[in-house]
This record gives sequence, structure tokens and C-alpha cells, in this order.
Amino acid sequence: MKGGETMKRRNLGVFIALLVLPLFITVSCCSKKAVKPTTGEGQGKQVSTEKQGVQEEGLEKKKYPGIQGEFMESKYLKDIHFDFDKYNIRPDAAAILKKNAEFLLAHPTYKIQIEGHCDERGSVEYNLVLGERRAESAKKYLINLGVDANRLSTISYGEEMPLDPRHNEEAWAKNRRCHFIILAK
Amino acid sequence: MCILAKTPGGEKINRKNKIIRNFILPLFVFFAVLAVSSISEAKVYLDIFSPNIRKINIAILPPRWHDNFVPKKITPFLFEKRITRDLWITGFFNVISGKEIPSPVTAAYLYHNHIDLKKYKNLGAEFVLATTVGIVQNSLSIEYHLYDVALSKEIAGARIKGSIKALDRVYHAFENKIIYHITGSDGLFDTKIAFISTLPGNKEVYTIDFDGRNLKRVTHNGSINLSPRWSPDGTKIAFTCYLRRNPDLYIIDFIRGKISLFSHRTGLNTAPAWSPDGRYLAVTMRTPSGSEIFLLDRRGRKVKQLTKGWGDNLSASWSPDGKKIAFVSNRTGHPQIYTMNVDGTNVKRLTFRGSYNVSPAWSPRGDKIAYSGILDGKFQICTISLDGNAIHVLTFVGNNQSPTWSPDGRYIAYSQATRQGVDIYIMNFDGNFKRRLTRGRGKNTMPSWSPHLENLKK
Repeated sequence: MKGGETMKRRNLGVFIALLVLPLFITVSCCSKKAVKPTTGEGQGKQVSTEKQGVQEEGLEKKKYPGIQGEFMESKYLKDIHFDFDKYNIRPDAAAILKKNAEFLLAHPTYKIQIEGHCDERGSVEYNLVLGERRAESAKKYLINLGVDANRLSTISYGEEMPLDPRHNEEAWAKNRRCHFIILAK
Repeated sequence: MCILAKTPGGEKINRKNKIIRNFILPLFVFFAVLAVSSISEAKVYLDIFSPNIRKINIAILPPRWHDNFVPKKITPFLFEKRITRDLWITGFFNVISGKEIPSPVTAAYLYHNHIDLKKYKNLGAEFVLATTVGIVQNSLSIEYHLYDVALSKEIAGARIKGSIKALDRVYHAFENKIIYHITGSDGLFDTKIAFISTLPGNKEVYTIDFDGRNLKRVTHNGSINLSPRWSPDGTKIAFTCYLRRNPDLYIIDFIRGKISLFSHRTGLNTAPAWSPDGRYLAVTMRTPSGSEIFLLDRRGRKVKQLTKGWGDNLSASWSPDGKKIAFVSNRTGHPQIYTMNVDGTNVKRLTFRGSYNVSPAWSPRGDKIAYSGILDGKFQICTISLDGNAIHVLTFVGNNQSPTWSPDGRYIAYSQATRQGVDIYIMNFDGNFKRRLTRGRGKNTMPSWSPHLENLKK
């Protein structure tokens, strides 16, 4: 398990490096042009002449192994966390969702996918359902804060993508989360 | 490890030959059972479903050996070792063989088939199995004679013949026959267990034979693969895969040699459960009000929504007569097992003990449902009668999940997680005789037991 995890991580790391490196090179070579990230469907790269200013800040291109398409992550979109076998938005999560909503309202073209994740306890199939509930409650909360529903999609990964592979309360608390990715800008 | 995702179409083409080689060809290898003696009694010696099952003592004599060359894979020693081990893993036998057998190699035994049964009675044997193995070119024949020691007579005998290229199948047919003569129902040596393994790094679908041999990787997409389920005719496996950034349902068709996308509605397309006639799949899917169970037809079209409202409903399992479905619902706040009619009516809660009961699997005999429930903080495999009164806890060590029945209801396979690893185990339906099926490499979860696969060639 641990070996597999580290290998996955290492591969992910290499992948990110490979993806991010040409981005920097292109950006520095032709400063007026910026490479737009590929869409969630992974249909090749588009070149945009639009100037990238503050928007570019904090964005990181990523890809999950075995899942089609690339996406971006922003350090301004923070994870929210849940209690065991629960999907209600806790007060700490509500504060984070407010900031996430501000970021989304400031970037009205971004299409977001909300990922629902669970800790390793429970059955795989039940955790898939629970992950959907978590992603959906985050989505509803963002809609109530004024984010257009058409920009928000949800997916459940159940217990399949733990952030922390350890088997203790601390790890489980980290893993019960919603993660926000940018599918398109 | 494969990182680059393949399209379903690419998967189709690349995997076709492999699937045909691994699964289809062996089905058509020449194979025959010839009766050499017409002695056949309908008597059942071992009722495997009786409450206090006792192991049967069987003596296996060294094989009489005829070959015109000695292939390394088949020697008298390996033959005897394999038969001894395979009969032992069924959990029904104490096997007396090898050095425990007083030398039967006499002229009378070799040339006149004379066996002094009294000699084996003194060893405690109730049955004696004598074999003659012949290897001519690429063909292997096993002639066997099974004796009842108490009755002092032969109760069954036959000759089984097949290609040494399909050695496992010849052995399996022979072993299934012996099981049949003694228990009155077919052995399970022609069944496989599909499961999810992290052996390559990510979660892929694998299969393994009932005897723990013949581990095969079935999917190669590098993605997250979950919930494999055999179709009732053994020609397909349905499973969930994240390749398209959505938990879509795919079907592997071993006859046509391809993997195709079956249901890709946004959100969950998971926990596929084939109806016993193979016409429908009950699938867990997203609705605006939560997860619900839908009936899909062979082409993936929605036929009916079976559950509605009151929390989430998931993980369907059909009764063997196809009239009812067991499922999980959290309508009371915690996941519990429920049953309903196939039209969605007559919903009844079955489990009341504990606050986390999931993964129902309806027994092929129809009389009980296996599930995994949290007891004292750990998952254990339990069975419950349909009236909810008789609950049996069958496991005690580690976390045990995802029970799946053998096609005859004799055994339950499940996934056990301990500090040593996560592996598939098999136990008798009453919790006795647990044995590890996978070899402790990777995390092995979500087993699904195939039907008899030998029937496929008919």
C-alpha cells in the first residue's frame, strides 16, 4: 500500500514537472502569449493572446494518472473538511467556502469541479455515495453564495484518493474533504 | 505502471487478442470424460449443508503411471501432491496420501487393479481413490476408481482425457468429479473469483481460479477500477472505471473479446448487480435527491427507478429467483440492509444490530444474506436469515468486507485487511476452514465469484 502510494506520488510529481516545465519555457520565451490550459476533455492545446496577469498567480497544471484530461489547481481554492459519515458544512468549512466563492466570483469564466473524498473506513461503495453527498453540499453552498450552478460540476472519488495514506484519526480527518479543481478557464 | 490513459476504443483493440488468448481459447480445447464403469450411485455421502459437518477421510493411492515421455510439468510426485492439495482446500476432506500410504505397489495392484481395502480401513480411510495416468504425445488421461471402504466396493470410476496444454482443465474436471461423487453436487474447480488488486500500483480488475492458481490481470487502463461483478452466464464482467473523469460503468465481454462503455450518466454508475437471468443490471446512480438504484436493460437504457427518496440507496443484490433485491439504505441515518420486491414495493429493513451494515450478498440457496457490518469498530462478515432472527458472525480477525457466495452457496469469499496485508479469503458458509486465496502482494479487495465456467463450452 505504502509503496504503491509513494510510487503514485512520485509519478504524479514527475508528471507535474513535465507539464509545468514547458509552460514556463513558453511563457518566458514569448511574453505576450500565454499557453491556455487544455480543457477537461483534453482536446489539445489552444493558444490565447489574452494577457495573463494576476489570474495566472497560484495556478498549477495537473493531471491524475489514469484519468483523461488536465486541470488546474489554485492555492486560493482551499479544501473543506467533514466529520465521519457526515456531509453537512461545518462552520470552519463555511468560512473557507466563502473565500472560495469570492475567488470564483472574481474569475467568472472558471469552470470548477468539486471532488468529494472520504476516509478509508466504510465500504468502497458506501463511500462513493457519501463523497457525492459531500460534493453536492459544497456545490449548493457555493450556489447560495452567488456562484453560477453551470460553472460547478461534482464528482465522488470515495476513499480512492487519500491525501494522507496513514491509518489514524489525523489522516482520516485530512482525507474527509472536498477538493476544488479548475477544469477550464 | 501505466499512466497514460487509453481511450475505451484503444482498450478494445489492444486487449482483444489477450482476452481471447486468456479466456476464450481454453474453453474450446479438446476435453472428454469417458465412463469406464457404469457403477454410479445417487447416494450423497457428505451433506455439506448439515449443521455439524465432519471431514471425510480419503486415501489417495500413488498413481499408476504410463507415459512415453516424461514432461516436467506432470510427474507422479507432482500429480499426487496436486490432487492432495486440491482436495484438501475444499475443506471437506482429511487426505491420507504419500508416506502415510503403506506400499500399494504390488503386482496385484499394478496389473489386476486389486486393492486391499481392509488395509486402508485400518488407516481410518472412508474412501480410497486409485488413479491410472497415461500420457501419449500431448494428451493426458486420468482413469480413476473411487472405493467406499465400509461397503467394500467401487462407487464410481471414469476416464478423463484432455490436452496437456490445458493441464489445469483436465485436473479441474477430474477433481470436480470426485467432489461430485462424494457430495452430490459439482465441485468448484471450474470457477474463478474476480477482484480488484493494486498490484500494478493503481486498482485493476484481476481474476484467480478457485484453487488459487492462474492469477490474471483483466483490465490495463491505468485508472481506478472498482466493483467487478460476473454476469450469471460467466461471459461478462461489469465494473466501474474513472477513465473519463466520471465513475462510468463498463462491461468486459470475454466472448467478443472487448471492453465497452455501458453507462456514463454524470455521477455514480456503480455497484452493478446482474439479474439471475442476465437481462438487467441494478445500478447505483445519482439523482437530485441522492443515490438511488436503477434497473438498466442489456443496452444500458434506464428501465425503472427502484428506490426513491429517504436518504441514499445503493449496492443491490438479487435473490436467486430474481423476485427480490437486497440493498443498503441510510434512510434512518446509518447504513443498514433492506430488502424489496423487484418493482420497488414491499421494502423491509433486515438488520437492526450495529450502526453500519453494508455489502449485502443474497445466498444462491435463497435462505440468507451475507453482509459486512462494523462490530466493536471492525468490519466482520455476517449472515442473517430472511426473517432477521438468525445472525451468525463468521470472521473475527482484522477488517472483513465484500462477501460473495460460491455458485452453490457452499463458500463465501471476502476481503480481509490485517497488518500483514489485504487479501481475498475463502471460508465455508458457516465460517469454518478459512484459507487465503491471493498471495499477499498488493491490496486485494471486492471479490466476485463466477458461475461454473465449464458450462460455457456447451
